[in-house]
Amino acid sequence: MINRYPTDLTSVLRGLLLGGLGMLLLVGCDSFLSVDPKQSIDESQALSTPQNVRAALVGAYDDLSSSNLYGGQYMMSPDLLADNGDVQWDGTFADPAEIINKNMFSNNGFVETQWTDAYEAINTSNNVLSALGQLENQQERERVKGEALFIRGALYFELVRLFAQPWNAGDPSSTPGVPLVLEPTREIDEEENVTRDNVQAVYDQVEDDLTTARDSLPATNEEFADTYAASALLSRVYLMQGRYEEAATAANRVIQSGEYALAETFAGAFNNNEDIPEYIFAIQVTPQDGVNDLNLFYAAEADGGRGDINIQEQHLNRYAADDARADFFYEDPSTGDIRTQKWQDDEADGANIPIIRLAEMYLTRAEANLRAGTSIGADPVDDVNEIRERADLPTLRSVRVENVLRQRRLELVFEGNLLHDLKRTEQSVGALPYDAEELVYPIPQREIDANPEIQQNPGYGS
Amino acid sequence: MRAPLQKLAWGFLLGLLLPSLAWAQEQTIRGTVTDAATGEPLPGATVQVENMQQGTATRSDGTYELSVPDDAETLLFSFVGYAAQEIPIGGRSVIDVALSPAQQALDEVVVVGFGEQRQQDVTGSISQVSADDLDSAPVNSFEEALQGRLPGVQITNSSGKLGQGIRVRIRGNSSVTGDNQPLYVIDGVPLDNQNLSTNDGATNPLAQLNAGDIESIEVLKDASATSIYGARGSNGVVLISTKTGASGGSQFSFSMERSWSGPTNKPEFLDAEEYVNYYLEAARNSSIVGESFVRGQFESLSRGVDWRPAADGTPLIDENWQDRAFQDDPTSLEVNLSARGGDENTTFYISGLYSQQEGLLNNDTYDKISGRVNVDHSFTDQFRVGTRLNINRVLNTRVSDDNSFATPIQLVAQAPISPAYVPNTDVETNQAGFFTEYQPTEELNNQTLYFNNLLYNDNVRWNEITYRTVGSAFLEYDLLSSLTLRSEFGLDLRTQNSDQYFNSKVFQNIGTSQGLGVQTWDRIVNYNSDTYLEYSDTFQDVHSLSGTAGLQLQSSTTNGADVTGEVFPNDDFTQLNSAAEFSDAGGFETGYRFLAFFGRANYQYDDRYLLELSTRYEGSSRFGDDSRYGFFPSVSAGWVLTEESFIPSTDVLSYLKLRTSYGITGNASISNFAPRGLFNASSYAGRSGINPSQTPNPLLQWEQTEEVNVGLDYDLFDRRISGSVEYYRKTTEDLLLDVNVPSTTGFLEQTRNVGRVRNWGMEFLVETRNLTGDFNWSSSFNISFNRNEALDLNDQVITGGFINQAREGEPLGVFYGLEYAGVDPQDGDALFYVNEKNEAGEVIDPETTTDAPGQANRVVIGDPNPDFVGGLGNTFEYKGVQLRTLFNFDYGSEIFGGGDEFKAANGRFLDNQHISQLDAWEEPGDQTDVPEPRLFENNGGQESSRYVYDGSYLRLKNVTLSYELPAPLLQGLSVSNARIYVTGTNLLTFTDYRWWDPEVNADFAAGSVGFGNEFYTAPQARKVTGGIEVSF
Repeated sequence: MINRYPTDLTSVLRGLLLGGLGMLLLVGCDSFLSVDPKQSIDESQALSTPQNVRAALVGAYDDLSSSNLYGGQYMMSPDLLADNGDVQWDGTFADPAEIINKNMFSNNGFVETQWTDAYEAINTSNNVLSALGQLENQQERERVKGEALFIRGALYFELVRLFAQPWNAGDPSSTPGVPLVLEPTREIDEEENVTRDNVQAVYDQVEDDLTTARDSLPATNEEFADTYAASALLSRVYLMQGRYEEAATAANRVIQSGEYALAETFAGAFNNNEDIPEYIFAIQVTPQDGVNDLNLFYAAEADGGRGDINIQEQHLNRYAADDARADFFYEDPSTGDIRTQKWQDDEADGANIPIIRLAEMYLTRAEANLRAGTSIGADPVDDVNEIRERADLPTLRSVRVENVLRQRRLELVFEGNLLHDLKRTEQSVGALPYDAEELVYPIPQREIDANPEIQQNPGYGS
Repeated sequence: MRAPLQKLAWGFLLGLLLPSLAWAQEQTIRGTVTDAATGEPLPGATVQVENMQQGTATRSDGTYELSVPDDAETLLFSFVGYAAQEIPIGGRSVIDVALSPAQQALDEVVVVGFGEQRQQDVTGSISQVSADDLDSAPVNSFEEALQGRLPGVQITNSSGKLGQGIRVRIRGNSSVTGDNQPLYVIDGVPLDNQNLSTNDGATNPLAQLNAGDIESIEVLKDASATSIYGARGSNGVVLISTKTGASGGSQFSFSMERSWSGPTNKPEFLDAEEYVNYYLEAARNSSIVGESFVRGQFESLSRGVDWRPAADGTPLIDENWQDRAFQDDPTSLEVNLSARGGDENTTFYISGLYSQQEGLLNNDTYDKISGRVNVDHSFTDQFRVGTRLNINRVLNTRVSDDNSFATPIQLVAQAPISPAYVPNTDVETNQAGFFTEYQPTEELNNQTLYFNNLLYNDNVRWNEITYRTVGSAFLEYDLLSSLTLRSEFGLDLRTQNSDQYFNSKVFQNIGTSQGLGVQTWDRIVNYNSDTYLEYSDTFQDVHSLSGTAGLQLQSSTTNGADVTGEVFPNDDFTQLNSAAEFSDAGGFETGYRFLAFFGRANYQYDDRYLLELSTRYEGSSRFGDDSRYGFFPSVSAGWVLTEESFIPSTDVLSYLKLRTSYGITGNASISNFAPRGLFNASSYAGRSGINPSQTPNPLLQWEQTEEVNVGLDYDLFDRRISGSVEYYRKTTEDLLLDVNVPSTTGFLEQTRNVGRVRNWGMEFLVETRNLTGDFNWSSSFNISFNRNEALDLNDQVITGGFINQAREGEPLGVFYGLEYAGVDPQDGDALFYVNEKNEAGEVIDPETTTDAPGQANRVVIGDPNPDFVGGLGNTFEYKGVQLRTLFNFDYGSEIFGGGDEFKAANGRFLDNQHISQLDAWEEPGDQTDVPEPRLFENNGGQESSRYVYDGSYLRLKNVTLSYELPAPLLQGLSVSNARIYVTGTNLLTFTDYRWWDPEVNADFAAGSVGFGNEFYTAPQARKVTGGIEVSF
């Protein structure tokens, strides 16, 4: 072979190569290998500034708005479980079908995420509560504390109602509730294999969280929880416990605050992309952000839904002839089935999801006053008439508890109250008594598998 | 007038040429090159004039013709695998040469990590496939061509969709949470093959490559072969070498092929009359709805056209929805151009490919453009440089993943009484108020049971365009005659744009009424830099010592952005610019790095005793601060028994080598920041937030696989039979496990190093030359047995797919569900075994059954892992005619019908049913496995062993008939080789499997634990390809 290049070039190259190799060896290995994440921050910095603590609180609301929690399933799933022929499940998802058939398996995916997402949100709230010291302004610190406790209290309340026997079934201090976790998780070891606290303990914690929230929160707080949202939730808690006077007092506090007003019409109370005065607390949905599982399953395909829940004659027959609420249904253009208009607007329309409306407070105050024999705030008949009048129904001269419960059922239908109302009033669902095993969710199988200490509800296999 | 003029012109031209011919002092030499052992002609052998440029290759019949200068003295004859010969010309004009195989074919070279070895020196477990085998299979991605060819390698296409993920398993699954795909290295560049699919079905970035560029593929299987790839070696390593040039003349090749394809199988569903009768019966049996309900449903499904079974036959509409899922006669075209050649200093290979494939399913296409330049150059005897560079672009029009109403196969769920097109309502109605005739209009019916995804055909754009550049540049410098320094830099760049637009007509499936556009851009920048020394020397003729040592660093960064827009003015506006609302947007960046020192040393004594040590010390950014570096050593040894005096090489036993290895490799395939405790950003009500997203584990490291391999290579009866037998045992410890943690912590899982999985098995390869001579017949058979068991998972159960699980004491991926007990002959109820368990989880009563599935316990009901897989190839040759066949088989895999709870579900929904459901229970005493249909109840549709199928199959994967045009025909065309061929792919499949295709892995449910599932998954293509190859 002819060597076409002078030898001094090859020696230059040899030098360059060896030099390059040396350079490579000298490169700091550790610095080469340290790559930091770009869209996450380390736990150690996460709660180190006031700004981050405020952001974590927004994170907790974001968790709360999950489609598996107040983004829809805390309303839809219990309504299906409480159904006895008012609606028909017509979708292909097997899990809601199991729920409406009262034949849930312990691996039901819808049930599972209603558990896991709740604890995720609780952990975020616990993180906020652990870092309140970062907030120097005392007023802000109190508000942030109140909001985090509101979220935590609301979730424990939902968990204990769904995954345990109701307060009134047996002795709540010996009925298994759900595990109470009140500190943020930093590392995971055997200690995290928690056991279920009893129903009494969970209710006590809920009451404690919500009363503290009520006392810490301001009267108005934009679209976030305020003191009246805490009171409204407390009225639900007291009602479940049969503490009627306290329920009436809590509801009365909301009504008399003057911050809220019923919408002009029943239809006006739904599909609003801003919080109207009737909403005491609502999940915020915008086209960019937020989900609405109620729209997904209740609405027709043309409205962004799957059209999976068909409203049956049996339900439509519940309304009196002139009831405006009876008109709040429509025929699905593609299937011809009847659907509720409550959840007709989808995420793209940005409709918020009301969690507690003022209408419920009137009905709660009425029922609680009737049962307690009190007239806190107003005469029960006046409260019921408020609701009846808006529904274009004639006013009544006197009311009994049954009247209130009937209005509750019609006014609050598809908003997640039915199961809990049936249970606290000890009414059966079809052939199932209010305390039937089938009407309590199974503890998710994944939890049983991951935590040997946790006890399954009776009636569920593995 | 014209003819004489033309003659004149020709004469003039000839006159110009003749003198020049006369002046060139050249002579022509002819001859034939044959195999000295068999006497067969050797096509493609190189004939070269020594020390000069002239050269040629022999034709298909082994003949050559070469003009040589008068002063030429010697011809050089060479051919891969044969000893080259120098023949003095000595004034002859005919020179025939018989080349002898060079010291047996074992002298062939195999590519190993950071180097090459003579095959006879190999002590690890390496399988090799050459370009020849790849050429004969028309495939979407080159891995498909490996199917059935290599022992220890199992390859499963996820579906018949083009460009879809392919599951490649080398010696089983060793990881539960981490990836089980092998590491791919092309010409020294470790690829970043992360999936950038914009739906839940993974795409396969390897399909981008031009299989025609591949010279050989080496699959490194045992620890001794892969430990030099350290923390990424335990799933095996696939080394791909592309073609390079050759000195001595140049060759230009052109090939073109065209394919026609169709599905391998279509299962049978109910026709309209059967459907109507089945659901009327289901409604009568239902406790939820009655017959009038279902009649109403039929009326709306048929859109008013009379659906009632007519006295004389069928309802007016009998839509075969399944047929509509498939394109009409999809065809494919591939054109490949290449040139290779060079002189003694520079060689080159360049190629260009254009291919256009149409998939089986509606809207599924794959267009590929690829170019390659490989150049090698020697500056001096000591200093060489080279480059390997491939640039390609793929346009894949995507089909939705299997779990979408829009995936074409889901059309089978539609009611056959539903018209595909809106019926003309301008026809007569009968007394019952139904239309008496079905006249389809041109408008697609959007009031079907489920979304009518035929609407996707004209109303959706989903173009996934990927540009990928894979290239490397290297230099080699001989520091001493025995010591070479090699340094290389490799790049693997990928940019992908997914351009989606859904217009208003598909509103039902996208949930927004005025159009939806999504643009997604992703980019991967992956580079590596390797520098190493190679040493090789022989002492006292018998002691050979060689080695490699160096370092490698690799960095990969991925970033991307996406925007979603809604509300377009009308369907003519299809770009995001025209969207009124932007409902989603995102951007991200992530990355990882590896840095490693590696080395290998080989000692060989007298071709008899072989010893190899290799190791890698490797760190990765993916691992915790407290355990960043790992050490991966291996040792292997070989003993060529036939070199010993006590077992002399004879005609019966010509070669026998025993080899064994032991080593440790790793698997680093976890998420990039798995060890850290992290908070992610979130948003609510227009405000930004943060949430805990990951719980920390600073001790997290690679998972570690310890592997023992024992192998035997043999040649019998004068190389008539050769092959190998191997046994291996791989134990993987410190599994990278996403362990389920109590969700009461706020987290669902944590990546931990816990648990142990074992794979062990045997592999057999037998290659035979059955007939030699004019008629040539050779065979190759391989079979592999792998057994897998999760020894320890820290008491965890890891789930995947539908009901796949990783459970202690069971193979990874077993199906875990209810055990179906058939139908109660008295009342038609589906029965399940209760399988009551004791505290330890053991079944104590396997007999008792129940009709309440909620009371039954789940047990292991099937295993998607095969008992054995393998292939049988045969090649028959007579003169220029060649017939090649390849069967591949899989025995013992089971498949879970994830979609059966809809399409074999006893009236659970209104979905059309498989024909087998007509055997349903009807009256007391009926003996059947199909429960009574009850509309909207669930009588037997639970996930149970009823839906587990035997997925064993034997398939005629490939059959190719080709004809090499004889040399006399080609003379005067300046064509050196021409071949025409026709290939059949998947022509025959023998299986008992019920649904489309037993080679199935539902895309959205695919993962390390989730596999062997069917869910409206497209079958493989049955394909006929015709083609021509010409070389000049």
